[in-house]
Amino acid sequence: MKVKDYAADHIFSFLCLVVSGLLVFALLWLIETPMVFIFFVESILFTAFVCAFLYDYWRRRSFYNQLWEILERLEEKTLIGEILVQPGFLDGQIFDEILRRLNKYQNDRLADAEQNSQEYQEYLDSWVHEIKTPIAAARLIVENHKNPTTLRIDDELRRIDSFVEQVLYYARSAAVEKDFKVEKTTLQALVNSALKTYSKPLIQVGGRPVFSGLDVPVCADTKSCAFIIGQIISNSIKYRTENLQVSFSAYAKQNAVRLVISDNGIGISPADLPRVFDKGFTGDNGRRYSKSTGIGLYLCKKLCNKMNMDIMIQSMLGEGTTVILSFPMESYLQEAGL
Amino acid sequence: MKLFLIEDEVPIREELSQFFEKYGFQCESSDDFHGIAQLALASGADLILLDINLPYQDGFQVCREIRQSSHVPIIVLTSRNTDFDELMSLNIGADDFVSKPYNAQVLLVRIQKLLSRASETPDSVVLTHKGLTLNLLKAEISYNGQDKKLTKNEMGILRLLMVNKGNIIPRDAIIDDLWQSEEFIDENTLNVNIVRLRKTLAEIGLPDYLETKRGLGYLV
Repeated sequence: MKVKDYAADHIFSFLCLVVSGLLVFALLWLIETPMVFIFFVESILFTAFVCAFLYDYWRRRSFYNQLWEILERLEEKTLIGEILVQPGFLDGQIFDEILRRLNKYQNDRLADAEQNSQEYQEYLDSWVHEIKTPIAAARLIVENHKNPTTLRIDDELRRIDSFVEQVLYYARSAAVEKDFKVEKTTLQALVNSALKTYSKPLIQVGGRPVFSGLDVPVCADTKSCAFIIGQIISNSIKYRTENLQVSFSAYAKQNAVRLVISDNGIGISPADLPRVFDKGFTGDNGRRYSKSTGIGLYLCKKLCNKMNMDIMIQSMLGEGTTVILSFPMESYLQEAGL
Repeated sequence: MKLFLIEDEVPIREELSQFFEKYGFQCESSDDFHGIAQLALASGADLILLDINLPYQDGFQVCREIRQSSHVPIIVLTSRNTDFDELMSLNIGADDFVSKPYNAQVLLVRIQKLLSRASETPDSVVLTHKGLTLNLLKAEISYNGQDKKLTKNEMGILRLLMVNKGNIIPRDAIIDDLWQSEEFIDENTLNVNIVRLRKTLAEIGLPDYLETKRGLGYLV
């Protein structure tokens, strides 16, 4: 609180006091009081005003400055009502009481919302596991009665399963704790497992995977990485041109192994490219192909961030898209104590 | 070879039994989950498939109970595919862990591996249809006393068709089946393999064994 601001705020009181000082001066002058007495009276009045204002200014300033300071330093800002020292002046006390009640209400609502979201997440988690049982049963039935019709049902079951997986990873990416199991594997194993999941749609469009130099050991969470690669493959299938070819290659750079996944699809326009990892962003391609949800790459990015991995995307419109996944090297992880 | 299924979901239990019976396994199961561990042991099964979510007690307890008196191979099948479950299962003595929705072929391979390790003389797993016998472990076909070796892909194709005998299997399903065993072949390779397989079958006296249904797929 600055003196200037305080004075500006109390301009009306100042004016009243000045006017009353002038009136007293005029009155005393009219009854022909000697100048020295008038001067005395005026200086008493002046001193009293100044003291009153200084005291008031000091009380407010010390309270509000302290409040600001606490607010700056507090991590959970909504807890300020709990820490506040009650001020000595009336309007401050009223304000303090209001702030306390408001904070309490706010904190109760926050706790409620957090609990709700926690419960919802737990429910979702158990739901995903529940739904997997009927999916598994249905797929076993198909396994035992393979014919053109049941195999088409199986294609749909696989789609359901991949949507369910997406839900699972969405919940995972939002969870605070990092429940990832990092283990030794190879890029080939990760790519194979993703290809197996998306085998049917890839085969049906006549797509062909091409590998080169994937026999590289990496440390990664197998399931999550396979999920990410799967999302990228599924994008390649969605935004394909004739003779789809998805090529996988790898190279080492600095402290990382990079997996390069390129397709010869329709590509992404330069205007859309910086935003493809945004949640719900579908861009130009999304408008032309109705199946875009804007979730896949967003999830990839989020999962990568959680696993200390990098994901980059390059594309030329009409020529294809390249996604680069960067896995931290084992030696680097060891140095970092992970 | 006898398998014992500890699974409370009836459809899954029935379909798994059907699936394994096609490959010549005997399957047993029970609805009495109170003393399921004793029942499993009493059945004299060569391998036990165990679900985690069970009535009365969870699969971990059942596993522990079985382990107290037997070293029979146990594979845990579950929809709870968290790392905790996997570690827990392996720690209390299960031999393998497969999470839902599992690929039945993958499951079969794991069972065969475990069984061949557990019993000293692995039984040959064979499929028979219209007099033709396919030995899955040796990758051999035999008919009227004549034997022929098959390549991995040829065996995969024939296995799929023989397991689903009498049903038309579309081409993409055959390719998919080979992809599941990490043979990422394309249409042309499939054509080549089918031609070679036909030739091999003709050599042992079965020229029309593998039928083509135009626009649909293949059938034995």
